Amino acid sequence: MVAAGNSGVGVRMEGAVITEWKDIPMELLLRIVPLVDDRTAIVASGVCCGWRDAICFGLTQLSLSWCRKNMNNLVLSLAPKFTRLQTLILRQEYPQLEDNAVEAIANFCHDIQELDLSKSFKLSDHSLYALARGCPNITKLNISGCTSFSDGALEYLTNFCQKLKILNLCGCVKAATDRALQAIGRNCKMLQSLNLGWCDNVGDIGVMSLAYGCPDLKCLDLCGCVRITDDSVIALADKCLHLRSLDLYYCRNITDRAMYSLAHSRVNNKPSLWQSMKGRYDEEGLRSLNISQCTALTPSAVQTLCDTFPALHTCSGRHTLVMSGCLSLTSVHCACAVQAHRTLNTIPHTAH
Amino acid sequence: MGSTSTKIKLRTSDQKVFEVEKAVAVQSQTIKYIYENGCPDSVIHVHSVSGDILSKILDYCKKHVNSAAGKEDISPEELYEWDANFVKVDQNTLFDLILAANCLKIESLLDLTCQTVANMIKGKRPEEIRTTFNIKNDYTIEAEEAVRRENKWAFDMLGGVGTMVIEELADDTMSKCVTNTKSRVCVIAANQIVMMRSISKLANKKSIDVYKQPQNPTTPRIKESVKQRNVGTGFIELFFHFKCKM
Repeated sequence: MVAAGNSGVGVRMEGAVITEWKDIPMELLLRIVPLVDDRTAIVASGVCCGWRDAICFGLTQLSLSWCRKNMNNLVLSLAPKFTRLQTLILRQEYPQLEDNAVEAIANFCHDIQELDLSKSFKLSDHSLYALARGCPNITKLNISGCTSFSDGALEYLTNFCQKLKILNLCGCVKAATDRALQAIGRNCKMLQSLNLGWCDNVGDIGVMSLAYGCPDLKCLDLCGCVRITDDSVIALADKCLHLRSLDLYYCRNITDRAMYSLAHSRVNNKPSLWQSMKGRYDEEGLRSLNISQCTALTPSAVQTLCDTFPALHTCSGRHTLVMSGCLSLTSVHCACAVQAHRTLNTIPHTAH
Repeated sequence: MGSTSTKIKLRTSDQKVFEVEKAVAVQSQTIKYIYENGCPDSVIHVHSVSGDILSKILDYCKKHVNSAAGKEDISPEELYEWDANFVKVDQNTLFDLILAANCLKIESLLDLTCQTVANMIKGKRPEEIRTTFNIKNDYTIEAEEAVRRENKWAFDMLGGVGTMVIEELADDTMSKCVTNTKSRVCVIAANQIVMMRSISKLANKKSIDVYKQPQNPTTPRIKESVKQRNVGTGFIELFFHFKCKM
């Protein structure tokens, strides 16, 4: 195509000169498609055979969350074409997705790594069985709001999808039980983030299995998991040394014991962390903690925690230690809040 | 300052020779590579690019080099405008430009031309895209039927629930703006040029279709052709701070 003259060396272009849009080189079409919305990408794949082949080969991300009525039909039609999809977002405002669509995904899109099926109220366990068989490379799965899934099916899934790193089970009351958590602890060793929000069947046995099985756990949301007690938090403090974010909203059984265990674990593990973990020492430790409505906690325990973890803040700019509804904890402050208090001498108090 | 006025010769597919400053020519990574690794004094053959196209491309490179070097007093907004005008060409020329930019590896021109094509296909149906780009439909009957069904499903979503009404905008000449963010339809009630431009910039970022509501509410909404204009971010931020009600 371009050559230094006189030297006789050149790079010749293969074949004829391209003159038509239908023959646009694949790399160019795949540079254009990410610049348009998903619907246009689908439309573009229907323009001509050349565009279809290029887009079907190159499209790795797609979202159909904008569909109001026909998501199921679209998935059934598109799954066989877009076989190279790695990310597929099917979050629904109006429940549309059915088992046959998820089966289609499992049959054709084996490269799927990220799948969002949140609010798919119509799906049954068949979908989970299909995904287990067809999509073993899933690392990020969101099935929040899928209230029909059972714990047996979820357990089955974890046997096959062992690369899971991020799992969102918020609201999956039937699926997120101790039995399922034990399975996750056995199978999903790479898990980093788990959302068990409002799964009130979760108990200490489940969370402890999780703590023992998933040492890389960084984010855990136990919001509304009312049955858990200090034992869960103690296990997490002991085993999940990379824990950054913990949500214990409404976990009324949590007492100071849990707080002290988190603080002590950090202090005790400093030297061994440096030696045994080949990675970096997690300088900051816990960055975000929600203990709203944990009314059994006392200021001294929580203040100890706040002092141990420099990334926990109560100041208005970086409010990461959330204590709403804990009227006894109004005196707890992070170091910068104290600093500001000294400097300004007035502080509109906000421990909400 | 000899190196800054070094010239490079380029010969196109139709045997035209262009002599350009090195700084301009090496905007093309391909030319840069050949120049640095080949024979600096000889002519570089640009086999796949014609004289007309190369001429245009060199204009682009020159403009951007001069602007970056401060040789030309041009603000970023003006350069943006210049770029927008640069790609206002027929689709044949656009096609040649995009291929040439790819072949010559001029990243910024590639970005510009790709974005232009993206804007030309957004929101269109397949038939419209084929017309715009003079593409023949080479599908079989069955495949075409499948495409037709897909598009019916994909486009079956305009209007409906979740309308966000933004009203009482600061300037009293602006009137209601209705955005249905789920179906990406934005209807602007009044013929407000400034509003249209800022919405269109926003729209291009967020894939929102922009329609102009005609004065007579009974005529069907017509799609205003969206032009990307840079009216400054201040206006866009202001746009989002207006009172919204669901």
